[in-house]
Amino acid sequence: MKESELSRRTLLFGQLRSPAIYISSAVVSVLPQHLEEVEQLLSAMPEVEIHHRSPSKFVIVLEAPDSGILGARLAEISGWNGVLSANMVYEQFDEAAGHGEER
Amino acid sequence: MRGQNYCRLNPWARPLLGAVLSGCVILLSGAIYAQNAPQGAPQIVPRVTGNADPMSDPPVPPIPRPITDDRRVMRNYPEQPPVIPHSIDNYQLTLRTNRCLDCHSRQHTEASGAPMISVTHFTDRDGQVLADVTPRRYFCTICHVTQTNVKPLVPNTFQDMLLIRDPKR
Amino acid sequence: MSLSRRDMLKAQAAAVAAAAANIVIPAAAQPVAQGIGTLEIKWSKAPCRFCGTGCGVMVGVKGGKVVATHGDTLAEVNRGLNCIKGYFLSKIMYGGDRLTTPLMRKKNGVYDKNGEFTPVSWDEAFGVMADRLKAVLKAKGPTAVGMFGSGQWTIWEGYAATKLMRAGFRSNNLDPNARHCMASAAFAFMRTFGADEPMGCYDDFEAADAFVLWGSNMAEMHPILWTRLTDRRLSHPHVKVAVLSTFTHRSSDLADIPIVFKPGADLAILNYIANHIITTGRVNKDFVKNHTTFVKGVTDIGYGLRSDHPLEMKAKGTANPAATEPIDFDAYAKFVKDYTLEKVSALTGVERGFLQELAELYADPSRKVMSLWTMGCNQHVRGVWANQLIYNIHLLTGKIAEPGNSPFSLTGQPSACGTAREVGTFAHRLPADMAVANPEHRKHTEEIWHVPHGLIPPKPGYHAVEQDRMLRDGKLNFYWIQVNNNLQAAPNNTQETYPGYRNPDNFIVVSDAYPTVTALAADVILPAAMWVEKEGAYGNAERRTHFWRQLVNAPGEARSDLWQMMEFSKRFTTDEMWPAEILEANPNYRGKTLFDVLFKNGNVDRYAASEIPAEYENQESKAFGFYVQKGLFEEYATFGRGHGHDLGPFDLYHETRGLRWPVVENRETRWRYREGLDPYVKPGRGVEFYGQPDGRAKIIAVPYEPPAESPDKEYDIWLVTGRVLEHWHSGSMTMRVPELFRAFPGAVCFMHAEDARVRGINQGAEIRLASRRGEIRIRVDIRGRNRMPRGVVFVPWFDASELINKTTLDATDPISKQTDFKKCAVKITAV
Repeated sequence: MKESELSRRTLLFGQLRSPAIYISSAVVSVLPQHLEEVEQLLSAMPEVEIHHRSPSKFVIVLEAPDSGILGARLAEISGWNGVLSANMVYEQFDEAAGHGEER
Repeated sequence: MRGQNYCRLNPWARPLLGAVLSGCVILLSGAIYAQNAPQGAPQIVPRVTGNADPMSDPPVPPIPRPITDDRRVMRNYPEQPPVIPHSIDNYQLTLRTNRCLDCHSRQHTEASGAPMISVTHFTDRDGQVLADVTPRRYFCTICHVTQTNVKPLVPNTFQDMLLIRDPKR
Repeated sequence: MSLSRRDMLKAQAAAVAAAAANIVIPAAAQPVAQGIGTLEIKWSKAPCRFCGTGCGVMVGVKGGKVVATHGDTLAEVNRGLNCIKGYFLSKIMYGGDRLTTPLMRKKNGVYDKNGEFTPVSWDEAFGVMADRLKAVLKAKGPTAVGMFGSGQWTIWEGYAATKLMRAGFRSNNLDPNARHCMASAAFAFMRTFGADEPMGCYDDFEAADAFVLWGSNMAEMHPILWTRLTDRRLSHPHVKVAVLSTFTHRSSDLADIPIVFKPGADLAILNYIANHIITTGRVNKDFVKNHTTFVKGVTDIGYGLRSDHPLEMKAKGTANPAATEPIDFDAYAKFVKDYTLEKVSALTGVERGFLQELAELYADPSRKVMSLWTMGCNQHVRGVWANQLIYNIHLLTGKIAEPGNSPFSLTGQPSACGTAREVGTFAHRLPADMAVANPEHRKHTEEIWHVPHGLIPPKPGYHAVEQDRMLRDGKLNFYWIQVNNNLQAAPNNTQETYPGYRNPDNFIVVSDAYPTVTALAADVILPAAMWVEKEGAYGNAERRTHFWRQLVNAPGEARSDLWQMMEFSKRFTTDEMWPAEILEANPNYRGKTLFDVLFKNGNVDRYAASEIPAEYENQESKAFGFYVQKGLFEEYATFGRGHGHDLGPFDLYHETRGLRWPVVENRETRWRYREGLDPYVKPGRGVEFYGQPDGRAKIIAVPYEPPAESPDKEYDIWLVTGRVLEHWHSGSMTMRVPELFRAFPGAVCFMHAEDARVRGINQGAEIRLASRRGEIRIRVDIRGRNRMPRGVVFVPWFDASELINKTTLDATDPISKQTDFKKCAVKITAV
């Protein structure tokens, strides 16, 4: 993680915490005729991966250093043309590093 | 449980807080990608490649601190010995004392709350199961090591076995 | 977070969401336990890539990647155990900065010694290399061409190198990095027994009643052998362990007799023990009478420094340091009589009680003793002597060549024995203990190789330290380094090694898997395949030859050292490389490439690539069209078969967890030189040291002589260098495994608290550590695992950013030419 993440967190919360990472998954419901268009838009978003799709739904996984960013992305997605809903299903918080990994 | 990851099912998106903070875009970067060097030339990562001028003596960063957060970390593969998530400074491991077993042996785990050493450790060289830890496993630090709070020097591209699909199948 | 871990979490998150959305996930896309097929891992055996213990590991492969490793329960060496490094073998090949293409220093599109590393094709790299090599040969002849190899080469790589260098380029300037670690042991074996390598084996661990460690920290450097020793000690209370060292370390934690002696004084302790055995009447007279002879060595033999060094000018015995003259038992007894308890206690700084207890372990006829040693004895300006003095006390008591009675020289590299020593990659050696200086040996070699007589040069080449000196002096101009990191490993590298690599007259090629200090100081870097990316064979410390298959492919254009040498040999013709008179006498060799005469010689190309099981790749055999490894091995094995170095048939090694040579009628030999255990001992002899013409081992009278450099007023502290458990040698593999790096993330200077205090230094403070050669900056650890006595510091050498060998002295044992990395004088100041 970059230094800026640490200092921002320190600033916001007044404490020093290890950099964290949030991984969440969401179901995006789409009108079938907009499926391809939405897929293109999703693919272009940073830190968003499409894991599965059905004729009317995508399962996406989002990754961000903060839960709020995930929420913002979902809010943006739900505003797209042809998107019926974008709901977070699961969220995992983890310190950015496990053992033997980046910290 | 103390120190473990948490996860949760979250039925509602939370757009409000997200909108406030959405200006922050953070990029992850591995150590070796940050350096500048000609196209295709190896990157300088002093502790493994030597300093840019290999015979120079730049200042040395402080000795990193051991990680002591007691968090269990996922193993790279099932057979990997787990790392030690606490400090072992001044632990005695001698002919007569074994500080590790004071907490991790079967008879002490209830009081200590520490994980019990694996049953594989009860088997001697000839495959016989013993009543306690086999003497060949007595020196714990041969396989179990502490970790310090430093970033790896270079990323490691090792992949978890569950994430690899065998192309032949 | 690692890619793996993050991906795991994401897959888990996706699965939960998919379930919530009622989306059925196709089985193959699911990460966890979907059908038995996805759980399958292909397991194959291999020896560990690290030290000379030679543990067996099982390597799990899935989708062309190594995904797991664990101790092989069927491997006799380790029976399922691995040390921390062994457990992380899975990750050593996956450092993010693996070299995947040849790199050459270039400026304006052409090779330039001062240019930047630029990716080039193999063709371009080999083209420039061949031009350079030919130019050097033309200008200066074969002595200006050299290669520095390794005890990490596979057996066939070392064998291909010795053929290419000696018969192809006609140069004996081939030496392995094993010179830095095993040369003293190898010379002592040859001088004492006339045959290299231990008579005993690891089975001695389960049979001994006492273990004596002479300058070896097995708990960190040979952890799995340490588990066998620990097992024996803790399971059998009568067993005693003595640990001798110049500081207190983890092995001392198990010691009944912990001994810390003044650097270099081990020679005196060994002679004291011999004296104790004699004066207390515990010489095994029958054994000594029937199986030994006595000799006296030349003394004052210098320190293997450059010949104009004051210490060399002063020494009287430098002309022939290896010379000996026969003496008898009485003369020997008289010689060691000087080494009294009082005198030796004063000289070594060791309490008398400890010395007596130690001597009694050897003297007591009812106690079986295993002596174990590594770099403390070998990296010693009197390393050959130290090794021989250990044999002395085993021979005087007859405690040798039987289960539990075993002087045992441990090795530091996975194939220091198998490749460096047995194949004969030293500057003076040929396969199977033969020597280049011996005309009969050269002739025999040329016959087996199917090359003309007179091709192999008779003069031994430059040894490791001499190679660096000759590079610096501009006498060695084409230099190829494979599987080692010598700029980090070599002594006094600021003054000798680095200037040699950067000498404008020289062209330096480095083959490695990773960009090391050495690679980055070279002119061409060749990306190497490593470990299970090629089919290989190693030989461990107990004479065990162990094979493995190629299990995965190397990344990008990385190729094995074997492929590199064989492919490169195609660029030279016999007409260019061999003397006209040899070709005149052997016209059928004209117009051939070196590849044709060395590798397509009717031996090496004898076996079809189709013999390789279809489930395993073999890139070299695919490239050259025949089973390269089998051909090289079988040709090599003809050197030793019938001469006490017998290797078994190639295919047998792929079926077993290694076999200890001599392998006679498919059966391994655990103890040599003892009738009933070794098929080479003639019936009725009982014990026969058949490496010597008279069948007798030599007991040598040599004195204590001081180290090359000792602390004085200015440089007032001893420096000892070495390793730590978590990192292997220069750290090029282990420092790229995140868990190992984070366990020991940089070199530190272990120091006594009082030594630090008087210099105003606190725990963790940055210091300058300087010798007469160079200096480094480093942090101090006064509370670490190594507990130093006053006046001695220890620094490991794995850290490329803190090159401790800038300060070490390039003094060597004058007989073995092995560097003493354990003793030089430094000063320490706060930064």
